[in-house]
Amino acid sequence: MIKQNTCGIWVTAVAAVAASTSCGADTHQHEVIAPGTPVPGESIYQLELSLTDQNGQSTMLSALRGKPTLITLFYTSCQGVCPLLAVTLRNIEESLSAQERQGLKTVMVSFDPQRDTPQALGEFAKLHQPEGSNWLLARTAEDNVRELAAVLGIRYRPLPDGVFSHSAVIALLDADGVVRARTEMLQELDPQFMQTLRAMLPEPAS
Amino acid sequence: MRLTVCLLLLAGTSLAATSTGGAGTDSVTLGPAKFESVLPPAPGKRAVALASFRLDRRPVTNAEFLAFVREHPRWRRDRIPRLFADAQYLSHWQGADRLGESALPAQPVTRVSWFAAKAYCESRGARLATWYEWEYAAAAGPAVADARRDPAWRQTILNWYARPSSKPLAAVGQESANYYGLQDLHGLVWEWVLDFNALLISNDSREQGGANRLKFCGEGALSTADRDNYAVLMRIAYLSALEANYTTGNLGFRCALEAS
Repeated sequence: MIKQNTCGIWVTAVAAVAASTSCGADTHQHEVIAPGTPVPGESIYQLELSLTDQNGQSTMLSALRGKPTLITLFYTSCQGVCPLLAVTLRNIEESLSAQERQGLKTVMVSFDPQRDTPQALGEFAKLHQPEGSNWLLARTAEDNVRELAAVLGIRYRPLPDGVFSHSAVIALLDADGVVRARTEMLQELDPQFMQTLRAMLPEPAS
Repeated sequence: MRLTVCLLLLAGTSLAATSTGGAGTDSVTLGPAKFESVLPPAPGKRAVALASFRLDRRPVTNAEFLAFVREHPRWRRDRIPRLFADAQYLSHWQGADRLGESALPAQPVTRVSWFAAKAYCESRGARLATWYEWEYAAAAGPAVADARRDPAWRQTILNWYARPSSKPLAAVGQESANYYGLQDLHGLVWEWVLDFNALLISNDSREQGGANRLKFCGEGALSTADRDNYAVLMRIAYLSALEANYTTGNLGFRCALEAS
């Protein structure tokens, strides 16, 4: 496992490289999805659920359609694995070129709608998202969490003391919301997951 | 000795099971109750507190599910998105809205996904039972509320698991009722529960340290306390292995409701 220190240095190096590459015009790979096109049957955007983000804005889950998306479930008061989920999301992003990053969305949805107010979500986002990124942190009704966890294959249960026991999974959705890869690898990057992700993003400028 | 302790525990809880025939549903009211689950709710804690709830006497039948599908055509097997049910969903029915010879009206409906089961219950203003509710209801023998330490009763249940599953399913309601008046909790089909994806089990000491520790928040809570209760543990293992769109030929469900 990559240690925190090593990771920091490595991340800095990648960020420097990313900054030095020119932000050229957007490449071909981005398909524009015509509004009203039905989503595929396997898409998680089949779920009709509303998210409230860190700015208090409500949006339908299906409105995320359009870009490949990293999505995970977490909660802000989690002491164990959740900060590592955020670190992993950050590491994934920072391993990409600036151009690739523009083609990607990152979404974290809370297990804990009771306590994860927009304010709590906003603070968590500020603490963890890379500079220049625009993560979507959101909460949704309890029953929606159950359904979202179910389609992402995430196991969780609330414990009596306000803690949630849960599996730590990052899922990669394609632009249509179909799960294309899942990883439970934390901090270090999962090579297969990254390969699938890179194949979905605009070609990095060479 | 164990039995005595058990009975004393139960004496302190409400055992009232009252019949409620209202709203056209055939269900009974259970609890409120405290009971010891096979899955402890937290480290060092055994007792689970259950609010009063209503539970269907029997699993949902093909006929009942057919009526639901006709009323809510988005749950027909030829219309349902793959996210909500796999390709075997209701595949034993003769048509998308017809039962046929392989799906008799009084047989429990099977080959239904968690999403479909959930939607059925919600269409009735109900919900799926939670694991703890199901476990509490299914702990009852014919004459006592908690038969879990009765070796003969345990054996009866285990015998079901040993039976080949190739024979057609019996109609619901053929077995004698348990203490609460519930039928077919054992011996007919597996049943979806609302929180099937909450039943993590991790009591392997090899997972206590190292990288795997990071997989779960609060994983210490997930050990199973009653290792002798094979039938229940088997059920938990089975449910834990499911995904929400899975369907199988011996997995059905029944609905529950908050008691008003």
